Amino acid sequence: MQTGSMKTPAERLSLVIRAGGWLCAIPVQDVVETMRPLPIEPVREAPPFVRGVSVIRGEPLPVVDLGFLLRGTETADARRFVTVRTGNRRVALAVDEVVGVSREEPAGKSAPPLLAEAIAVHVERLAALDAQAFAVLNTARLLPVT
Amino acid sequence: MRRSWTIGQQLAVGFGLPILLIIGLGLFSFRTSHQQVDTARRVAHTHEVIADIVDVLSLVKDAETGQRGFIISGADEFLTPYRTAVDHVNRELTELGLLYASSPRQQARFEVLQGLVREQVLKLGDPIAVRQRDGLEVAAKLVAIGEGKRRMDEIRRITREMIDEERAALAERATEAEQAAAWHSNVVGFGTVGTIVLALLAATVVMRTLDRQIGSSVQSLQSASSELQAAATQQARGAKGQVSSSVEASATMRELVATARQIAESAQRVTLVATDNATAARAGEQTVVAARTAIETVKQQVDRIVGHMLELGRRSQDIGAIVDLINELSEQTNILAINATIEAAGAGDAGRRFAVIADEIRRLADRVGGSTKDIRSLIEEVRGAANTSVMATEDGAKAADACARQFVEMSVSFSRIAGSVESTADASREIELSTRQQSTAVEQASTAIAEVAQTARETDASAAQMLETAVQLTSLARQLAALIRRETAA
Repeated sequence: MQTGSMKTPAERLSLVIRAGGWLCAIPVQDVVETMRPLPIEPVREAPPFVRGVSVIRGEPLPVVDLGFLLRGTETADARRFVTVRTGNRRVALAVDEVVGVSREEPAGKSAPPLLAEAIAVHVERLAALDAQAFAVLNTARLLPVT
Repeated sequence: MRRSWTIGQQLAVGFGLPILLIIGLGLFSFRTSHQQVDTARRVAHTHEVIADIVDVLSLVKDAETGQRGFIISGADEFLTPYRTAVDHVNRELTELGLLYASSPRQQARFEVLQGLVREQVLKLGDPIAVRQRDGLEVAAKLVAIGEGKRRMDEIRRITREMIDEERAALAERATEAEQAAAWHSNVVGFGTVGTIVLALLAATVVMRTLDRQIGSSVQSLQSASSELQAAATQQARGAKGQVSSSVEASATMRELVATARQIAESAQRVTLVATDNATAARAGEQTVVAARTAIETVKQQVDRIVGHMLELGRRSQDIGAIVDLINELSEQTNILAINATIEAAGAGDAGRRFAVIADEIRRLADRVGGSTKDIRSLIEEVRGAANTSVMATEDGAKAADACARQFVEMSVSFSRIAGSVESTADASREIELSTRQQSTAVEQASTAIAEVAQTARETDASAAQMLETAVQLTSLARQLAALIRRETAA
């Protein structure tokens, strides 16, 4: 992971995380902060990718299992919370690892036709990094518009 | 019942019955003889009575004859018979009275006769006096009256009756004597014959019984003497064998004495060796005790090493805790650096220099995290090595324990060995003593066996003598059987 170049525009920065075996990139401007996991209160009849509610900086935020969103299986051991902005709301993502801040624009393309419907709508582009699938997330699509 | 009678009883019965019959015959003969003597005595008494009666009658006749001669002749010499009769008639009457004392009927006749005789003698004196005084004529007239003749006839009649009765009694006694003699002859004759027959019968029965019993006894004696002869022969043979066996046993006992002495010497050497072994075992036990003390010292050192290693492990855990804290701080620093980078990106150009610092801080944090991982791995290696050392030292401690226990067991074994060796020494001493006692006993037994051999020789001689005696006894039994049963001997 290459990080840090004083000439790289700020809007091109992205936070690289690992969730459910996927490497994901989230634009830094959508990221509020990273932190250690906090206690989660389960919510009945919540969507399967929502683990529950956690109070972060005095505000109850839904905790979304990013690995479940990408793989369809629950992340066993979330080691970090990443708070992101989705529109005018904030959501906490439970991820396996925060890899770092990338100052390069991630390459990639839109999902191919066969995966377009299978991959969630949160993935903006797909790429490959170090022989691993790399997903560029669109935080604006993480939560359904209400 | 008869079989249970002894020979003495049979002889007593066989001779007793004839003797009883002889005694009975003797008693009967004695009684008969006594009766005959009594009869003879009574016959003599009767003859004496008859003689007295005849004497009295004769005196009366003499008196009458003298009276008549004097009356006729007048001579005094004719009065001599008269006077003799007067002088003796009373005495004769007295004697006759005494003889009739036992017969009442004859006594009555005697009383009458006595009165008539006295009166006749008294009255015969009256004519004699008349003749002397008045002469023949007067006296003849007085006699012619006939009173004297009547008394004389009466006297004759009474004396005849008395004599007749005595004669009748005499005839009766003669008849009784003849009957008694005939009865006596019959009884003695038949008794003698019966006694002889009974004696012969008893002798036959006794002889047959004795023949049967003595014959069976003689047969038993023959068989017993034959068995005795066989036994004596066998005893003689056994005595000879006993003599030879005793001689062999004596030789064997001498060899046994020599062997017992060798055993005693060997036991003495074993005692010496066992004493040396006991000393060596005691020394080995002391060496083992010293080795056990050294092993216990080693064990204590190993325990101390184990304690140090455990302490090292605990220190490693403390270091690990510190490293965890450092790792925690580095992680937190990493998070803060990322957040600072995010915040710097949000700050635009103003935050770029801060973003660089934040990135450097994040790198430092990453390096610290990497270093802490290395330290953790090193600590883990140290802990692993410490654990391995602890396990190895614990194994060493266990080995030392086992070695100490083995030394204890070895010490116990040495003690047992020493005790066993001492017991062996004691046992060998006892064996030595017992063997010496045994050799003494065997010597005594050898002497006894020699005496037994001598006794066996004497027994042999006695058996030969007994065999000779048995042969003689057999011959004697045959002779006795020949005496008892001649047909068997034949």
